[in-house]
Amino acid sequence: MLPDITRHIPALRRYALVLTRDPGQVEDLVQESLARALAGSRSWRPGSDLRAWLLSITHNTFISGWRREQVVRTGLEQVAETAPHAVMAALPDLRVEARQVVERLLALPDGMREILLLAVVEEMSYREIADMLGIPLGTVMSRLARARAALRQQVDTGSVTPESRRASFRLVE
Amino acid sequence: MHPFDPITEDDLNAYIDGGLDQRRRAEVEQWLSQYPEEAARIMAQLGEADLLREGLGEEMFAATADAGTRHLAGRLRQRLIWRGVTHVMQRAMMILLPLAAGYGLSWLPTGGQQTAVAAHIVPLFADEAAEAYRTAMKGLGADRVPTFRDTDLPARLASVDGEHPLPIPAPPTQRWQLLGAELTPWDHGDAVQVFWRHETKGTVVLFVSEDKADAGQPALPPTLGHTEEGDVVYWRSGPFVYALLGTADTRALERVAHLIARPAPGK
Repeated sequence: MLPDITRHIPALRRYALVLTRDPGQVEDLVQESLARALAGSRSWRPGSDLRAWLLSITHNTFISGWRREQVVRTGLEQVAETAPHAVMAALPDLRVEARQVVERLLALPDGMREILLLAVVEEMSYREIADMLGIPLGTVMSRLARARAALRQQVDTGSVTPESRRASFRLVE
Repeated sequence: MHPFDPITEDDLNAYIDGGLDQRRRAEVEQWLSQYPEEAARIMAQLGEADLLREGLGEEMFAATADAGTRHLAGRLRQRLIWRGVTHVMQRAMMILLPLAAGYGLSWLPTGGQQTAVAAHIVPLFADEAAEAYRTAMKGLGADRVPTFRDTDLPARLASVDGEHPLPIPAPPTQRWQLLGAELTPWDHGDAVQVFWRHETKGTVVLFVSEDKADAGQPALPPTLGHTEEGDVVYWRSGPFVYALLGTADTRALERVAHLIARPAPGK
């Protein structure tokens, strides 16, 4: 079957949004990822999962200093502090319930948001997520459990708090 | 449920994500029926998963990509198709080479040879040549003629590696005037782009490189292909790859290609 990149662009955009939490940077990150995929096309094994390959490139692009470079380039120090509700303003109208749960997802710390998105929305298996992110299977499962608990906790403690909005620390296993 | 196989939090997560087999799923459901509070939590989390899929669904992110994204996606698609083709060819060559060696198969270009017409996908180097051409032409005036200060550059670029000089052909006839040359990077190293201008036919760009990564590929006669930048005639001679494109029409490109295509030295 011929590779169809455009079919996976929505998944790349979605992942870029969850990584950056900045709609203004989504297309830039997607384009940078595609450019890196072009440069590293030899790493793609014909017949393998194209979406997982592209998502892993987006992930690696983001964590390899892309965000820092963007901040330096644009001078927008507040990029990492973009509030989820501001992000949501860039998305088309959603039902209130869907909007609230996406806001809560975007308020989760780095390392949790991605895994929840990959497991729930992209419907990837835990093994696929572990391979894509280069982390142990057990780490995927524990982060996922904590992400779900954190998502629930936000319901129990009220709406998204300023502290949880910030949530810019990274999980260290 | 086996008494030594209790339901864990991992089981409950896998239940939400549809990652359990039928037997384990039934065991989880039976366990949940005994613990209403846990069942309520799992139901809430199933509901949240549905809302996430709704909120971050395909239609939310399926807006038409901007031109830059479309261009990159198109190039990547072509590149990956070519990767698939070469992957199959490499496997086939492993089978066919021993057979072919017995018959001494080779290719030598001749002046009267017709240009082969490629299937839809051009090789990586031809695609890179088109991209380099696009970059070179960006920002030029209406006449689309690049200017260079140093017309000796092709000869110097060709001999950068003294042991393996790059065979850059001279203009095919006296009516083709050398404009200049420049180095351009691509996936398999550096290439030289040589620009020639004909007073009536237009400007052509010859992309020349040594393809060290695919040096074992068989020779390829001048072949006509199509890229986003227009028609390209490409060929391979030994480890050297060539791609010719420009503002000249297809017939002119083919004629120039046949005039300058030569087998690799010693081949």
